[in-house]
Amino acid sequence: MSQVNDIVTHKPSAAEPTTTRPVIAPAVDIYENEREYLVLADLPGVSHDSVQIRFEGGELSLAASRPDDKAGGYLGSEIVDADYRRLFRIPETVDSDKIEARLVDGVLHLVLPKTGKAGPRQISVKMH
Amino acid sequence: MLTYWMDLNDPFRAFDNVRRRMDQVLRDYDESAGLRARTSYPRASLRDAKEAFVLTAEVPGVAEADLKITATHDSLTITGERKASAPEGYAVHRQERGAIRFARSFALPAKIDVEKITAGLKLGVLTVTLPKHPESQPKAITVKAQ
Repeated sequence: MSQVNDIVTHKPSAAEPTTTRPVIAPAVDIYENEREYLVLADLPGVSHDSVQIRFEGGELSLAASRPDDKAGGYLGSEIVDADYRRLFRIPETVDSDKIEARLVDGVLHLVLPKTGKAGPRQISVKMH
Repeated sequence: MLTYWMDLNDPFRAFDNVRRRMDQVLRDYDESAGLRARTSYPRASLRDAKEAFVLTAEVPGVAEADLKITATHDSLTITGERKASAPEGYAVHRQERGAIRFARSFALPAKIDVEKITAGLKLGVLTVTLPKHPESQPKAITVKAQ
């Protein structure tokens, strides 16, 4: 229920878009090990300076845009000039100061390290 | 930990699922109505740049060495493979970008010069430049007054 409330009261953090470009949700992979989360996102055609990653209020937003293709003469096209956008909720155990991102061959690699103290722990049950 | 992440993601996942289902429905409709051919992998565009055809294809995460391009005087085939990206020792929460092996052929509208084809890979986008054969180059024809 708390999740539903949260969605309803959630204020959009981004301003109203000023262009009418289509927005694509890029395909992502999310992995986790004991030290970090790893997010991989397909962003073909995007240069590293047009990728915006924001971490705010437990949400990680990923935005990127492909440059406008001004070349004409298309005989057929399945590729559109679009913006990529995706939003994730991140557990509090992520150390937001140490988030790192790298763009390799059109794939964004996002490493979200976990804070040390919230690592996996075993809670033993005491017997009375 | 796994369920923790999943819970936080749940509302988004629901939207994602709806979006995917809608996409699928629309795609099916398009296909049944013959409006659009099934989109194959990789997504591509073909452009006529006067002296050459330029083909672009989105191949994020595919290494140079895993791409192979073959051409005849009127067709082009791209084959390639994206290796599984699951790193070792990580648990998988979500996997939308799987390993894929693909082959796609394009028929070209005019004869090309196979020897002069060049290809480059940048930011996950493959660009193949296919210069037109002299026979297919546009020629200006002067009109003589009689």
